[in-house]
Amino acid sequence: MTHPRDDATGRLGGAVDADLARALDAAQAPAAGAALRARMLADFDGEVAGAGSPALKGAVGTASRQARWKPLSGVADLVNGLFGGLVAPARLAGGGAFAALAATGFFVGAATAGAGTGAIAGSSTGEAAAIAYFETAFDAALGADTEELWVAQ
Amino acid sequence: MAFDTESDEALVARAGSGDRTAAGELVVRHSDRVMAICYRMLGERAAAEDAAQETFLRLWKSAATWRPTGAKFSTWLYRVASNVCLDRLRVRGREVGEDEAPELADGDPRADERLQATERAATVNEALAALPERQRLAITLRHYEGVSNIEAAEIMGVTVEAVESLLGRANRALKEALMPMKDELLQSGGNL
Repeated sequence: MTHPRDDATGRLGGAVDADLARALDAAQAPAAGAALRARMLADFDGEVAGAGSPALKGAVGTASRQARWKPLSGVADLVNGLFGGLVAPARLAGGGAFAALAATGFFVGAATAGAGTGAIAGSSTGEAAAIAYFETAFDAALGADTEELWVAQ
Repeated sequence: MAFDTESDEALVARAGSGDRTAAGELVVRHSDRVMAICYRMLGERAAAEDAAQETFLRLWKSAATWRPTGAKFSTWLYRVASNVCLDRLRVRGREVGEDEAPELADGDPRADERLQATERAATVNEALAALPERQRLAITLRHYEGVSNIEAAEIMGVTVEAVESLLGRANRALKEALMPMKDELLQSGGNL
């Protein structure tokens, strides 16, 4: 059935005018990436494998969720390798904001720059500089007080 | 049979019997659009990905028993996605997510332009995020996903007239919010 008020394309004329349409188009939604699609199919595998076995379904689901955070664990390992347990991995893995940043590649750049800073003769000065770098970067990126995200040695 | 010629409904039936290839084809066909709906509604990528994943998880759980009931499969799936997002917004108790910070390569001569474009996009996203959730959903479905008012009404579970009312109010609110940057938007030539 065709609604009499719909035009040939199925859209109501004038519903969104040109200026507004242009403004709305300014922010394109991200496409579903390969990692997300893999997660979706992992869920499918879990459903198929877990038919009639709730325990197995739970295990598959847990594995899927853990796999989702793998890139962040890698970042945590790197940071901990640099600073000896400065950052708590659980904190890193728990935040959606961190996942968003990881998706943009933020951590790769931050960790690389931080490593370069911290490598200043391995001195306390270098380490402090590296810590300051991360704190500044996180604050700027998250736009919030990130003090709680930092765990002292 | 080539999957690209097979209907969504047929693929769902295959997926319901455990056919992983059919499930994969459904993901390919619909994950971008589901992701877009979730992103517009939730405002941040990580939350949108989780909602999109949950949408498909609900599909996998329902696939074995899913039957066409008049509406297209895609309408049903987008309705699930919309409901997942609305549920999460209610749980979250807030409607604005963190802005993402796209990485700008050092030394890139277009970095300033990209930064400006990012700021403009952020302003638009903020205006969109400030809308009441059902107005935002109506705009998302109609403008971003290009569905008809009839399908939007089916997805949202309301009348066509209600969709038109939501769109009208959303348009007025967005135009008011974006009026200060109207000239900038026009001068950008759509290169945002």
